Amino acid sequence: MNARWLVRLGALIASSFLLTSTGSAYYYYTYFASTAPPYNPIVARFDLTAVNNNTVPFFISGAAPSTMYPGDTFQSVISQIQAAANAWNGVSTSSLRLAFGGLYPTGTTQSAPGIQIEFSDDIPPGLLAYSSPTTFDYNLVTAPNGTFIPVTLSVMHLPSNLVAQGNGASYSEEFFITLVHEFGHTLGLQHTLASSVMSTITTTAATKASPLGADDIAGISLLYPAANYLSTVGSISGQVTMNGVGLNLASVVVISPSNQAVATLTNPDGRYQINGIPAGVDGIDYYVYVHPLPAPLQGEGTPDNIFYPHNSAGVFLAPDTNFVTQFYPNTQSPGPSNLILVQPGVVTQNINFAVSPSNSPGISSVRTYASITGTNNYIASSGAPLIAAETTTIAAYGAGLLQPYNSSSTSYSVTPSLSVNVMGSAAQASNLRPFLPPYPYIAVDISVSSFAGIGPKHLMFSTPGNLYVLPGGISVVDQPPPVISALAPTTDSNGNPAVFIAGLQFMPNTQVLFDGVPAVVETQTTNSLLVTPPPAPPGYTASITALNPDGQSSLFYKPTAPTFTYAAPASSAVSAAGPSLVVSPSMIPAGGSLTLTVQGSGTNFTQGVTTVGFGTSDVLVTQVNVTSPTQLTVNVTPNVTISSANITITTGLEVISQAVGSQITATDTQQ
Amino acid sequence: MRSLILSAVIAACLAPLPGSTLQQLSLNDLILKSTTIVYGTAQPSYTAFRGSMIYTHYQVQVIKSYKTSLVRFLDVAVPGGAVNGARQSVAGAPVLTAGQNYLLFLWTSPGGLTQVIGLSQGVFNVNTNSVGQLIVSRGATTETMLNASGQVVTDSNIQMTLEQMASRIQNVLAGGSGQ
Repeated sequence: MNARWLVRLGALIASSFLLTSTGSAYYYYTYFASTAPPYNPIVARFDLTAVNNNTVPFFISGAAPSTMYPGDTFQSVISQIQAAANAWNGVSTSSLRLAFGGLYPTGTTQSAPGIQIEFSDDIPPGLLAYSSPTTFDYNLVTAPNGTFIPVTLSVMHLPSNLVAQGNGASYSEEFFITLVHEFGHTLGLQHTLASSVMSTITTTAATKASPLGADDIAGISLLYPAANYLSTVGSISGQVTMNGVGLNLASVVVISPSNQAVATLTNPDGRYQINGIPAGVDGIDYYVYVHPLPAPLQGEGTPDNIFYPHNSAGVFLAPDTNFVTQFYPNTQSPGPSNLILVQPGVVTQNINFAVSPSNSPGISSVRTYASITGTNNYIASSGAPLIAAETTTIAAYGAGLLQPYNSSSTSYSVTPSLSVNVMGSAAQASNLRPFLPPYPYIAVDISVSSFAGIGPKHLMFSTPGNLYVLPGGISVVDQPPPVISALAPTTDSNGNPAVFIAGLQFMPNTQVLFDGVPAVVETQTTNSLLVTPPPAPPGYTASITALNPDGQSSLFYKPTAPTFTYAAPASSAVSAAGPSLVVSPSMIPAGGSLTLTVQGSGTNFTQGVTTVGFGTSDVLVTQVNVTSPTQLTVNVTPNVTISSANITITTGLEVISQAVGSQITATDTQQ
Repeated sequence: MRSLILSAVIAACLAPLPGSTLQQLSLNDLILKSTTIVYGTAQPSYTAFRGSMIYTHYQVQVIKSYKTSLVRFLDVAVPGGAVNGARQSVAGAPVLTAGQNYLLFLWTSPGGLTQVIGLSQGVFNVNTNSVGQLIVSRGATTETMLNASGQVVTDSNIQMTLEQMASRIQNVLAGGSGQ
């Protein structure tokens, strides 16, 4: 029996099902209904029994951003918000779904749960966005999966002036990732240190083509589990102590050379349980390590900007951070003997850590960059995509990588005895050195094995007595990112309007976005795509991006997206008037349901594509039936009397919104 | 091997993707982008809704103003807080301690709401050192930080006398680099 099996047996395997009340993975907005052990985290989340079909509606302020990037429109911003929501909708193991519920007028209030997205003049410089779930203290709900605090309303705040705040163009990588990240907050997720989309800017490896990591998927799936989810994933549990005392908010991470990290933070007594660990059919081997939360970066109010858990006494519980990173069991040099088998439906218990105090701040908050080769030009990007079987230099910056720079220094020096390694055998690191002055980075050459397999790989930065692990510090890819070199209108084999896209490095599953809406790919080669564009108003100009399944996008090579302009309107009359709607009947009673008929002019209604919303969760849309490109019916159920509302109809990139005012004034017949 | 060929190119291009939440501001940015800079004492706070958003409001008794403020008390709003049991949690929002002195870089929105610039970036503690000097400091940070353009922000871990900071503010507002 080898050491690996000894380790496996050393951990008690309990065949209990997951998600007990003793812990959960990732990190949520957490409350403890006690001041002493046992600590049972109670987290904030939407109550899916209070919404229709597990669908939380999100509403976008009708007050459009005051300033947008050149070429951007309110429609393009809306489409990217919808695309960001769809990133979360794509998690099959989560039962929660998000649906666009239309534009809302300023001052709209609502009684049913939902998400509002506003463009605010109140966001100060230095802040790109923030979100705030609203809960009610001590409003605890007990459900079969445990007690939770229901979120009644989440508000996502984006700057009204998107240019001054530097949020990026609507199609950009950064704007999209910001939206996905903020949606995560609105749903109840806090920051993690697993390099996923819920990580902060410093360590996130999320990209537009691959926005969610394993930690994000586990986090949302545990908060809103789909049927049977828990039986398909594994768990580990244990305690983190120092000198026999449990440590609060220590970050425990499961990771393997070929699997993304999943992490959680410990309870005040040091206990933890990581659920939602991908475990395959027969189990997957993982390393487990614990590390302290990093010191707050500039602008962070707390380490990693974690909103601390609070207890029944109203005390916010700060993290214990003064200890050294350690792999289980008690090593800083993990090898095959340290792997732990995680099996589906099983909690592997007693993965305990007895950590040592730290004598120095060590290394933390590292971000990596790699050169990207497109054709003849190079750019840098996050996530550090590296091509298999090649040696590429990456750069990294972060705390503790370089010696302090002072006025007598002539160049940066690497921290003495610093070493950089890649976890596992996917790649070798060599030639560690300071980067070209005056940039405060280190440089290191990474030789990727031809057998590495694509996907994120993890970096380990070591100094004597200290260790820092950066999950997903590099990402192995087979080829450079996709490139769009030209596009032109054409027709497909059926004579329908299509767009021909010429470029490089397209893949079988390359996705093409017109602003935030996917086009239908009809044919694909490495160098060309023929796509059916999504519906859009005549004359509309969309920004085009190509996303490859390896996580790279055409924006890696050319951060400015090419554009495509739809054919001009057939008649100037339609162009001048724009599409419009007539809704009947004009009155609907609260508490009942009614079928409304919407007659459009200049519209392009399409069954399965067109959405209808009224800007408030108090008017529930239960069904939309398109009868023609200019007519549809919509079944609605108003919950309460509303004083005003908008009707918003979207079809691809076509967004029609108008006040319905007295046309649809819900009348409470109970009064 | 591509690494040597690429090094010079990388150096010219290194730039972080802008953050999902925060854009880091240099001290000069803080000085220039703030609408008000004051040295003052935080008073007990209260919370209130502004639209659908809860803010925690701190009354700050102004000891000295370095940019535009002519009032003795300022109302400084921080997003998040609890009102009548309703709680909004905003990660990274600063918490000011009543009775503590701060140097605050503030920004007033077009709608009249005065907030700390950059969430927590504009909050500096002011304490007295062993020789009686007022020392301005911002909490632990990494040694090197980059701004949104990928340029080095060398002053993220700031500690200086209030007098030196005042001079820096004056210099930057007068059009100098402040260095």
